[in-house]
Formats: sequence, structure tokens, C-alpha cells
Amino acid sequence: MSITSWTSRSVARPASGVTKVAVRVLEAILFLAAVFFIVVPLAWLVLLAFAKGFTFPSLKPTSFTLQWWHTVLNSPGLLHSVFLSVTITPVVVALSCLVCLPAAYAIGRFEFPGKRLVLLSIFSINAFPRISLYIAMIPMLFALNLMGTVIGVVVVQFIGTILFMTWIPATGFASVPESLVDAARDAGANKFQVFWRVLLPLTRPSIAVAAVLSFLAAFDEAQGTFLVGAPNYLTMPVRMYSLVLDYPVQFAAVFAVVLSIPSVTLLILIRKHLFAGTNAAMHLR
Amino acid sequence: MSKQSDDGRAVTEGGSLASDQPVAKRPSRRVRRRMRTEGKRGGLASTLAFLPLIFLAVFGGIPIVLSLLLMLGHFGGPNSAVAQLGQGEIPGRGIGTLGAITQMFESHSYQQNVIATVIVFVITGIAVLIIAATLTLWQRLRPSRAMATLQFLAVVPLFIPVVIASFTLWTFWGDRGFTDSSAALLGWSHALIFSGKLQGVILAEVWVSLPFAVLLMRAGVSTLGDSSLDAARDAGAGLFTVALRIALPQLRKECLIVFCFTAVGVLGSFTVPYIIGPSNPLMLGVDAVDTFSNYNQPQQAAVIGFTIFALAGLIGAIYAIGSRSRHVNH
Amino acid sequence: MSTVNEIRGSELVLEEVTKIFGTVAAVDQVSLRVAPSEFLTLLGPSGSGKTTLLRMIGGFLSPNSGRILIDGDDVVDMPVERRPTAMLFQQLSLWPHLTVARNVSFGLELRRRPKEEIAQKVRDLLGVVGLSGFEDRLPSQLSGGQQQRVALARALALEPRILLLDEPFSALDTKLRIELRTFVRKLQREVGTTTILVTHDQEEALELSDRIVVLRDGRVEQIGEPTEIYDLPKTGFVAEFLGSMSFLTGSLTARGVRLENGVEVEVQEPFDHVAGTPQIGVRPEDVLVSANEGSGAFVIDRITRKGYFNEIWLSCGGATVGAYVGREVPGSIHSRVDVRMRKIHLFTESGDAIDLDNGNASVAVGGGPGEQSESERAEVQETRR
Repeated sequence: MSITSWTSRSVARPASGVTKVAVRVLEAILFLAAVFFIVVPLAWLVLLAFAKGFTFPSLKPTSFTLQWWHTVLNSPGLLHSVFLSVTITPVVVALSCLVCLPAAYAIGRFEFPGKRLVLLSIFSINAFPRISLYIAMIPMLFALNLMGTVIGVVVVQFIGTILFMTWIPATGFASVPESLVDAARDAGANKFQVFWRVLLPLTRPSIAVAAVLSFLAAFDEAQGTFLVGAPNYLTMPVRMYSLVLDYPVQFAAVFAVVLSIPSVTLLILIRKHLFAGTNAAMHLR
Repeated sequence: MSKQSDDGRAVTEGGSLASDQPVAKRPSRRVRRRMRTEGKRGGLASTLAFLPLIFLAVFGGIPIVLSLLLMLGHFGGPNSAVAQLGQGEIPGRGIGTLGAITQMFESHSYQQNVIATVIVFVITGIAVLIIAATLTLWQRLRPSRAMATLQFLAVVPLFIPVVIASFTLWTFWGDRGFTDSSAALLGWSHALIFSGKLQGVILAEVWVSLPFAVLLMRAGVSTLGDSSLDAARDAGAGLFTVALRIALPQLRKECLIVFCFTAVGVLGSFTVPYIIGPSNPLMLGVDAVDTFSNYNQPQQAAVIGFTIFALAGLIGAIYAIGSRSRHVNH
Repeated sequence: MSTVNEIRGSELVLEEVTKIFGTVAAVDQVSLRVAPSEFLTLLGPSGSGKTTLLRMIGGFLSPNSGRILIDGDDVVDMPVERRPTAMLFQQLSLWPHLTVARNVSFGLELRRRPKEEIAQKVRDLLGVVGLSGFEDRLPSQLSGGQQQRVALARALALEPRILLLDEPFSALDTKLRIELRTFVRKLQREVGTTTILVTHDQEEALELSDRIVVLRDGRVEQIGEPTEIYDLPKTGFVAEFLGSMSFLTGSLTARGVRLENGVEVEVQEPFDHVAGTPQIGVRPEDVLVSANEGSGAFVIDRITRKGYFNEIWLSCGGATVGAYVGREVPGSIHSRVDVRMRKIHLFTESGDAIDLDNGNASVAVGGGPGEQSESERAEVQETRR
């Protein structure tokens, strides 16, 4: 991080007074636009969750209340959704690690016949629009008796994590200099020890980024989960669909705030490493 | 001659190695085995690389083939379970029937849906590309705390579930929502309602697509060498020129990926248009799910699915052409 | 006594070792023997196969044919991790996620040595390389020179019977490079491990080596002690690669060389008389320049300041000769000067040395270096032990 910001500075030159003011003004406009576009809607959501009601066009709630929170926290169906989301997502991420990390290791470190096929498949499946992939998947899931089962839900969410879990760690594995591996073998490490003591620790940031993105993708997945899991397995995002249509806006807002807690917590935890991690993980060259 | 004597001397020096040591001109079998196994194959690990492929085949490749068969009117085999529930099916013989396809494309509303979908993914793709490139290049060429914060803000939507985002923006841009109320307070009624319109879908798609685009562009921008940018400034280029003429051409691959990734994402999205979008025209993602779940027409849903595939193929072609002309340049 | 254990250096023998990449033989039937505790340098330009050869000795590559023997055992099928060799890499070989101490102890941990022994050894080795107190730093917190010292300590921790150095000084700046290579040479003498250095830096090779192997296009061009190779280069390639040499065409006369334009240049040391027009090589330090009051057959074309001496380029007809002179240049650009030569080297058209006779009768032609240099080498090794 520090190196990038230091080197970047060398490009910036002192500009003339007028340009400087113009740049500052432009920056301010962009900044306010971003705040209005991204932050204000989220603040609006939080306000809704505590508002009793509004008299149009006032933006100030008639009064504040916790009644929506009571209702949400006391409805067993919703709590079941929370439970489902919190348990299924880690299972999906774990499955993804198990299946994809060995592949990432092989793709990053070796040349083997069929490597292009593996890469091409992973990328092209992700190039398929999600919703039509899910639609196509349903007859297969019916045939395998996986419709409306928890395994079906796990599979649908897992498909969405494969790209992250192979591509990003693969670039991580590939970026470990050969000399570090050579040095370890020279020091007497066998292939397993090289992997465990040198490659894996050095690839940890990439794997972490991949795991975070996979977690978000799985936790967030509503379309496929809705098609496959309904009506037995309604995770939190799926439940939102019916809440939006059938309940008061404030009720849905409370649920939305609750649903955002896990991923926002994640964001706060990793905010410092976010860019460093993704910069390293997403290099295309 | 001198080389031979050199080698000869070096070997005899060892004492134990006389010149009568037979040296195989042809590699021995052992050596040849070694030659084969060299080159890094990775043994077991490479076998495991095919593990994701199995999942992709069972839940991706094979289903797509089955879906194709379903669309063409073949209802047997694994398709039978779905076909039994279906309505309005058009069975096919031989290779199959194109009945379902013509049926769909002859309908005026379906044509409208296709056009609307194309408009939305093209505009969203371009908008996201412009915003992401502006934010990241700006910070690269003229770093400041404000722009750094801005970049961070642009990534925040990644951590807001899409359903929540859609719902939030639906109320925010909606009838009697935040913007509507604000406009009304200024005496400007019903001016800023976007929910239930294609504009709202585009705004929300930009919202959810921006983070990944920014992360990708940022990674690309961080690889730009200072020297190439500095050299351009030395040559008298302003920041805008540097960004447009020096930096962007080096980021061609990133730009292509951002556009195509965003466009395909929008094309295959369901949640955003389902919650925010109008009921007519429908985005194809919503139409597909509706047709499948509400009208129980799996065959027609498959037609929509393949329409989406075909559009994705177009985007893929853009990518292929774009990345090929890069090679010509080099 | 040094604080590091002495290591019994191994004897290394290569027999007709060949490595083919695609259709190119990167290493082509190389045979050589390295004596226990010897410091041998593989010298050559990039693409000469020196690193490939080193990596085959270390086990990172397998030869297509030939044998590699360490103390008489063929190690070609022995994997890297089991070979009694340790390599010091060009750069970027410290594990960035491990501290200095853990980098050094890595190999010992794999060998499951007792904790106490490991700690003691790490302390000793870091002391030897002058980095006591750096145990808990991470590699990123060290300078380039310090990193290479840690890498050296790490390599020595394995008590390698053969130490392989793959251009380990090339990434450092000049001062550090000289400092570290002097240190490595001293340490190598103390420890006694057989050492093979790969470099393209002739200065490094001349300074450090017991013997030098000059490689060209995967083949051995010449093997010998530094002075032997410098004084008696077997080919024009070797002569130009180690030190520099100017080449002239002309015929030999009783007193010296007659250039193509008829000018005769005196040669002081006796030389063999060869018929025809051989290639005549002369090293710049053997060119004696004197100002002859503005007259003389040669003209000064160019003067390059080298600090404590000057390199000047002289021409006479079509012939160009480089010469080293002291701080005082005998003339300025375009001045006419007289030139004599202390010693010349003769080569055939194809660049092979012809009958080199500088008055020392023991040097036989075509049979490699004679008895004297052979015994001299043995002497060198004796005195070192």
C-alpha cells in the first residue's frame, strides 16, 4: 500500500492555481454524487427501519419506533431463515475450498494436459448468464431428486463460487517466485512440505480474498436458491422477495438491516486489507 | 580439438575415470523415462484440478444440453420429471422442433423484452466502465484522501446483499420514496421516480456492478509503470491526456473484462429487475423465471434461457474481437 | 577457529552431461572433475549453459544424458531435497513470511534436530554472517546485502558438501558485491565445502576461483587456474571474455609483427614463428605507448578515463589496438605515438590458439596445460588445506 501511494505521488505535479481549484471542485462534485448514490440510500434504509411512518412529502418520520424490530425478531419463520443462511453459507465456502483449492494449486504451479480445458470451462460457465444456467439446471436437479433439498441449495450456491475459488488462488500460487520453492526443496523439503510451509502461507492473502468473495456470493445468492430451495429452504435473501411484496416497507427494512449485518461486519474487519488483497489477487498479467 | 583434450584431461584427472567408460550415445531407458516425467506435471494435484470440472459438467454442461433438448421438444430421459409438470409443450420428432422458438419470437411482448434487456445491459456496461475507469485513474494520477474514500465507497455495495440493495433502491427511488419526497418538497412532483422503470433497473444494476469493476480496474491501474506516465507528463501531456492516451490503452484488457463481465451479469440478473423493474417490458431473467414457475412452461423458459445464452455469446464475441486486435498492435 | 563447523567437501564429477531444451543443447557433453574443497567457477555469457549446468548439479533439472557423481555416487536420480548440495540463489529466495531465524532454521526443522541445537546453530551462523540481533526481522526489513547474507547462512545451515552459488552477487551494488564476495571466499576457505560459482563477471571469477571453467554455447571452452586462463587463453573467445584483447592481421618477422600496411611493431617477449597470416591478439596492458615528439606510426583515436588509469584506442592503417596507460597519457587525441608490444597471442582463422610459446618450454601445444601448471594447482590446494 505505502509503496503504491508513494510512487503515485511522483506522477502528480504541482498544478497551476486555476487548474487546482477546478480539480478540487470536480472532486467535490464527484464525491457528493457518490455519497448521494451509495451512502444516502443505505442511510435511508436504516431510517426506515426505525420510522413509524411518513407524511408525504416530509422526509422526517412521524415518530420513531422499535415495533418493527419486535415483529421481525418474534417471527419464527424469519429466524429460521437467519439460521439457514448462517449455516449453509459456511458449508458452501468450505466445500468450495475443498474442491477448488487443489485445482487452483495445480493451475497455478503446473503445466498438465487439459489445463486449458479446466480454465476454459470455469470461465465459460461464469460467462453464462446466471439465471438461464439455473433454469437449465432444474431438470437435472429434478432427475437427481435434489429439488427442494438442502443439498440442492448448497450445489446452486457452490457453482457461483467456483470462479473466485480457482482463479484468484491460482494467480496467487503462480505469483510465488520459483526460487522460493527451489530454495525450500534445496533445504530438504519434500513436495508436501514445500506446499504446506512455503506455498500455502504465501498464498494465504489470495485465498482469503477468494474466501471473502465466495462467502459474499453464496450468502447473497437468492435467484437460484429461490428456484431450487423453495418452499422448504428459504434463506434470508430469498425471504426478502416475499417481504418486499407482502409486508410494510418498514418491516422489510428491519429485516434488510439484519440481513446486512454479517457482510457489513466482514467489510469492517477487512477494510484495511481490501485493496491490497484484491490488487494482488486480480492481476491479469 | 582443443575442447576434447580439455574434457579428456579433466576426466583423467579424477584418476578413477578412464576414457574406456562407455557413454551411451542414445539415452538409456531410465534417462528417457526421466525426460518424459520432467516438465512440471504436478501428478496428483493435476488430477484434482479436474474436480471442479466434474461439478461443472454435472450441474452446468449436461444441464445445458438437456435444456437444449427440452427446447427442441424432447421430453424423455432426465427431462421427463420437468416435462410432466409443463404446460403448452410442443413435442419434437427427429432432430426436434423449432415450434417453441418461433412461438416465443412471434410474440410482440417477447420482442419488447429482448430489446429492453439489450438496452439495459449495454447502457449499464458502458456506465460502469466509465465510472470505474474515472475513479481509479483519477486516484492513480492525482491521489487524494477524498478520491481514496470515494473508491472505498464504490466497493461498499459488494458487501450489501443484492436483494437488500434492490429493496433499498426501490424505496429510495420509488413513489413517495426519498427522491420523490425531496423533489416534492422543492415543488417538483413525480419527477424523480425511477422504480418500476427501466431507468431504475439501470441505476440499480450500476449500483451492484460497480464494486467488482472498481476492484478489477484498480488492480490493473496499480500495474501501470510510473515511468510511462511520467514520461508522458515530461512530454507536456496534461493529466487528461495522460489518462486517455497513455493509461487507458494499457488497460484495454481490464476495460474489456469490466464491460463484458458487467454486461453478462446484468443479462443474467433476476433480483434487481424483479424488485425494481417494470412489469412490461420484462427483463429476460424475470421473464424466464415467471415462465418457468408461474406459467409452468419449462420449454418456453428454455427458449428464454437460450436467448440469454445467445446474447451472452454476442458479448463474448465483443471480448474476443477486442482482445485479438490487441495482439495485432503488439 | 571459526564458529562454523568445518564441512568435508565432496568430490564432484560430471561425465558427458547433456541437457537439451527443445532442439538446442543448452549443455553439450560437459565433463569435469571438481576436487574436494575446491572453489570452481563456471564463467560464460548468458546462454552459455552455466546456470543450466549448476541447476543439474543441484538437482533442479535432470540431464538428458550423462552422469553426475558426488563422491563416486551417481546422483542423477536423487531428488533435490536429498542431495548434499545447497544453493545460493540470484535473488528473491528468502521466504518472505518467515523471520530471519526461521529462514535459517527451516532445513534443520525439517531434519527434526533438537530445538536447542537449532537455536545454537542459528545464533552461530548469524554471527558468522554478521547479522546477530536480526533474528526476528522479516526479509522485507533487510537490505539486499543483508538478505544475501541470510541466504548464505541458510545455505550453510544445511552443512552442504557442495555449495552452489548462482550469480549471488549480481543483484547487489558494486561496493556490497566486492565486500560480500570477499567474505564468501574467506568463509569458504574456513569451512572447506566444495563450491561452484556461476557468474558472467570475469573480475569475480578471477578473484575467487581456484579454477575457472569457461563455457560457450553449452561446451567447455577452457578449464584452468585464473592466471593460466588469463595468460594462455586457448581461444580468441576466452581471451576476449577474460580481460580484453585486440586482434590484428599481419605477418610475423624476426623482431615482431608486420601489419598489413607494412608498419613493423616490435614485440619484446619471444614468440613462435608461424607461416602465413595468423590472427594476432594483444592485451591492452601489453601495449607500450611512447610519445615520439609528435611522430610515430600510430594515432590516438579515443581516450577513456578509468580513474587511476586511462584506456586509449590507437589506429594504424586499418588496425585498431586498445592500450592501458597510466594517469599520464603520452599525447592527446590525434597525436602520433610509437607502439611496442610486450607479448602477443597467436590464433588461427577460426580462433583457436596456435602453438603458444612465450619462452616457457613446458607448455605443450594441443595437449592441454603441461605438468607445471598441473603441479602448481595441486600446490595451491595443498596450501589451502
